[in-house]
Amino acid sequence: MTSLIQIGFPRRTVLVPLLSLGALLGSSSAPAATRDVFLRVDQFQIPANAFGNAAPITMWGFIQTDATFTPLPGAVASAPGPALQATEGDTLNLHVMNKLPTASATVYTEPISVVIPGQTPVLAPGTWPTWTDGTKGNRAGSLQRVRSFTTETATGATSIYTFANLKPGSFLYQSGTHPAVQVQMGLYGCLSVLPVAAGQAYGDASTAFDSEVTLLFSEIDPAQHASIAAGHYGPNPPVPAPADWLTSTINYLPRYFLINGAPWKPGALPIPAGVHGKKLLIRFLNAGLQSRVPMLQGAYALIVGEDGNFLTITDPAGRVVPAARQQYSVLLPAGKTIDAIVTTPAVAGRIPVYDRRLALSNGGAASPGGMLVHLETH
Amino acid sequence: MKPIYFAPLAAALAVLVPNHARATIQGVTGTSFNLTAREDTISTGDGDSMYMWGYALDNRRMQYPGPTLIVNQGDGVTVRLSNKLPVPVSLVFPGHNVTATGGVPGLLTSEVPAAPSTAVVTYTFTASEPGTYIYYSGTRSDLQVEMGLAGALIVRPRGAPKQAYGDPRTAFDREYLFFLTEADPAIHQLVAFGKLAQVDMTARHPVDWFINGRNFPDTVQANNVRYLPTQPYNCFPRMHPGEKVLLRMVSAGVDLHPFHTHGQNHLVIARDGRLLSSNLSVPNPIPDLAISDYTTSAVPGETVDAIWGPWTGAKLGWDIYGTANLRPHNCTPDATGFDPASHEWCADHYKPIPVLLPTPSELTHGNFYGGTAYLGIPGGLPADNPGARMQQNLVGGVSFMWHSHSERELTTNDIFIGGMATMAMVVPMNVPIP
Repeated sequence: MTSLIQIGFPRRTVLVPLLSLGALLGSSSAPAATRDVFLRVDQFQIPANAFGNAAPITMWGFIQTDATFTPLPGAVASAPGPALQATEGDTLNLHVMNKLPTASATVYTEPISVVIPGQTPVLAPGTWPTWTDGTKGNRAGSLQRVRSFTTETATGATSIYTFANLKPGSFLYQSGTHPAVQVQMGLYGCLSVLPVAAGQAYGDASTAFDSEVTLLFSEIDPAQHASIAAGHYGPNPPVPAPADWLTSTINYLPRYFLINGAPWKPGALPIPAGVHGKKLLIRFLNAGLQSRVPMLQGAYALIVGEDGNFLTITDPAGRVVPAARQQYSVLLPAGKTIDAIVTTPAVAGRIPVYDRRLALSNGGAASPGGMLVHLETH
Repeated sequence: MKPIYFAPLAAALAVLVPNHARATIQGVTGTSFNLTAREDTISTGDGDSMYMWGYALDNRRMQYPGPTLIVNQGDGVTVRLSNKLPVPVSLVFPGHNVTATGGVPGLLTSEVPAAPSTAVVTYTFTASEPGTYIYYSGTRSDLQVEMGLAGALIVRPRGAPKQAYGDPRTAFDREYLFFLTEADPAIHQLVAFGKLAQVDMTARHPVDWFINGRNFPDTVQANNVRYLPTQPYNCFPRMHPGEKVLLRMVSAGVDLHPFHTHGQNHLVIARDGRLLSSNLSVPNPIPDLAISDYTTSAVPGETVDAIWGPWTGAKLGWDIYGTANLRPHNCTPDATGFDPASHEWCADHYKPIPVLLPTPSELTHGNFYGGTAYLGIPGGLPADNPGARMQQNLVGGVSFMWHSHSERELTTNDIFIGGMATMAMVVPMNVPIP
């Protein structure tokens, strides 16, 4: 619920790519405005031995580009894609180019699209959804199945996905086309929308924070990535079919468990979490297909938001008041986002955060590995 | 199980046993505990035995789950951990700010090296807030929690032992532990055979589900039965009409379990040892965000405190203690129409159950059917009836199954019925509850 959102303050807009903080898009003091972000969808590889994987893993990912779809300096395709930031009330234009490889006998590819659950897309009538026969608009017959929730972008083509009047909170942007394949291939990222009130997660003052971190959980099933990379995917396998041919993702069995795109491995660096004894906003997002339970070792979090909704109740006097829950862990089902505020310990140090469903191995090898990070205050 | 004392029908409600509160959760009290990580085996409901790693109290055998540590709010708690296992182990106490001394640093806390090391790690913390908590190994937790290295911690509110928290709305008459786990026997076999390198936790496929370390129906056998020496804790909630039962739910495995109470809803008052309250900053918060549910998500690593009851048979439309011809008894109402002695609603006094019940010989019934629908009136069950033979319900109680509502979890290694289930029994006021 956003009923407590304060309005009427000057609006501040920053769109920051996570991997290149220097590349600001837009002014930091402009009023709510239309913001244009350019993304390209590329196929890329996680090299062998990056985290215990014997073979390279083929991924699909977003890369931030300029208006000609040339990658920004230093930007590479990644999963999750670049972290996007915006301000409440903004209109977001995502310009997307599909640079997945062209289909051939040995290459499997698909059209792509982008959705942001919880935000309002601007969609022209008749342009969505896209059906499995390639047509758009209203359903023409009972044999049609949805392929894309929105307008789709074919290989080599570009589209603009517009989201108006953004609401504050944490959101996943992800593929809206054949998500069973494309999300697990890597087409996901975080959009955080700040309220007009500075230094808060939502409009209510109880959500004030001093610093923030984003912890985005996802998984990789390397067998499915290998089949798709080899072109061995689709509903109509050749006869005889290759042994690794997949007709669906039903046997999804993830073997790598990632936070912000990487599992824990020896030498993993802690995540900076601001000054000790201060309020730390943690944006938990689950782009994977399984439920996770992030556990804060030795700390409690105040859960203030879910799916971009500030948690409130109506008290007996009829007032809408905050209704945060205090827990040491957070149930984070697939596709969900949680905003939680931790008052970090009075002494500088590290807070371990790990998946309490204990996905703590890399490729099935002996743990430690998997979904474990340390938040470090100074 | 130990047969429940049964008062003769003629005595019926004339002899009322005073409702003395008893600690119904087995565990170890104090502020200083010595635990040792050891190997042993448990018995599963399919007749198998499973190799385990677990925590042992002092020099005893390991137990599954580990000893329930019961302390009081404000206590300074010390837990010393030794290790007889071939791998390093440790202890983490989510929700508590723990200082660990000794051993070697690990990713989550200090660890005790593998045996034959005689090192001891001392974990100290202040039990500052009341509630239900979990502890488990913070060393290779994915494998070690599966192997059994987990237990419960209960912190009682200062000066209010019959409340879950400081607020009187959290008062209970009886309390029971629901320590929920699941296991994949194939992993335990590999570890037992020393093939640790072959263990792949991403391929885990649990087929055994437990409450307090036992599969149903072992859950309703007595505490400390000799034939389950490493599984001392039962889970057999019993209550009189009108009593509130506190469920202390600890989800120690890695899968979500939808825990379901038949009979009526339970009120979820807390998670992770914190009341569901819109204002936790006051000394004794109130559970104004409590949720009434008949199924609660037990989330791995989390705890839930929930209050079931009171069950009084209100609005049933028939007399829970039976009709005049079956059992003459009085109902003396208070201003609300409730008899405070027998805990029945007088509006339904002597009303028969409004349907024609089949006779026992026309039914197939399980161990928990007393023979009639009325409290304290066991029926003439056939001699070969499992209920008569196994003596689960000689007192004529009314039983409700409380269980995981993921139905495949009601099995033990593919054998129905078993797994994560137990029976909760309402017994007449005159029947003492151990």
